[in-house]
Amino acid sequence: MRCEEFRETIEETRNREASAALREHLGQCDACAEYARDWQTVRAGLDMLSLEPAPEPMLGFAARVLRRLEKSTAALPSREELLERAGRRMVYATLFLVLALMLVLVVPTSGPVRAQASTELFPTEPAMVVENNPILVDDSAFNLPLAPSVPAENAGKATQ
Amino acid sequence: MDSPETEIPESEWIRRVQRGEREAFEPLLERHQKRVFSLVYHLVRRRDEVEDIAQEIFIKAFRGIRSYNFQASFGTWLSRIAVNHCYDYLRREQKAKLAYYWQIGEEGSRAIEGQAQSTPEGALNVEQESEARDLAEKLLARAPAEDRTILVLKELEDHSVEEIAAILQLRPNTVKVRLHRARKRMLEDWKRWRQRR
Repeated sequence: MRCEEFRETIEETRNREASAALREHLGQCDACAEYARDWQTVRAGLDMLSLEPAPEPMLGFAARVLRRLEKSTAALPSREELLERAGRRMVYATLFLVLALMLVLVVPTSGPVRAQASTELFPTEPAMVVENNPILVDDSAFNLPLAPSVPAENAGKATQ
Repeated sequence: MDSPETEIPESEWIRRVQRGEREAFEPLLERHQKRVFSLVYHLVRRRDEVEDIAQEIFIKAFRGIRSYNFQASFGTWLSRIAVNHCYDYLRREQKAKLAYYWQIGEEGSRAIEGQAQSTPEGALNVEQESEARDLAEKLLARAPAEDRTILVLKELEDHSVEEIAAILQLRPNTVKVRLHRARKRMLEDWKRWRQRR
């Protein structure tokens, strides 16, 4: 057995129950003997701690917890309430959608009753239709004789 | 003679709470409050905080009771909530204040050290026991939250390895390994402190 295994045994064994093998090892191994002594001291302390009485619940502890629960659950909606709210919203949304669908199907969008009222009130000219035909012009039309050039000083007189 | 309420099995009260009957939580509270108080006190070691923490644990249990599936006992399930809650509390506390070697009273520790070396097997007198108690308390307070939790469950609450495994949702072998490591670290901590002096 290795020291580590002996130490695990030491932790689980009270001195009186120590096996012959463990006693023999403790006689030979100073480190394990020290470990055993330390553990014995700490365990004695832990035993003392375990014997100390824990504080008792004060009278009315359960009632105080229930009061706290009541307060906190009143502030927060319960799961059922949340589900109910969500369900109600779903029903309203479905109803709205059905109504909208019915309106679309029932109300006619065209027919003899509905003339184009806008044409009567604001008669407008029919829009000009411009054909997008290319205009072909003979290049010779641009070959006009140039006007005689007027000198700059005579330009004013000429206009007068 | 037992009242009709005590004749109703615990599982029935649990089912009633799961159905939303808040009042049905009261018998469960009454039955398990001592166990929760003890566990909280041993883990947190602060008498003034025990009631508040226990209240928070029961409120958590109430809110989570729908997730209880009767696989473990209700006590084990409740202990799991308590341990997790205290673990978070300890982590917060340990972040807030660091523990130092000087927190172990010098005189007390020196006396224990001397006695531990000279005491015959298994025999400590009243004074030595009291000093050993102080030392154990301080070593526990200095231990990391994980070590402290497992040590408290084993050494102070006296749970078996299997029970600890159920509470911490670990395998029994893992509990054994962690327990040994926690004890070893605790003793090493004490040894380091003695060497530094």
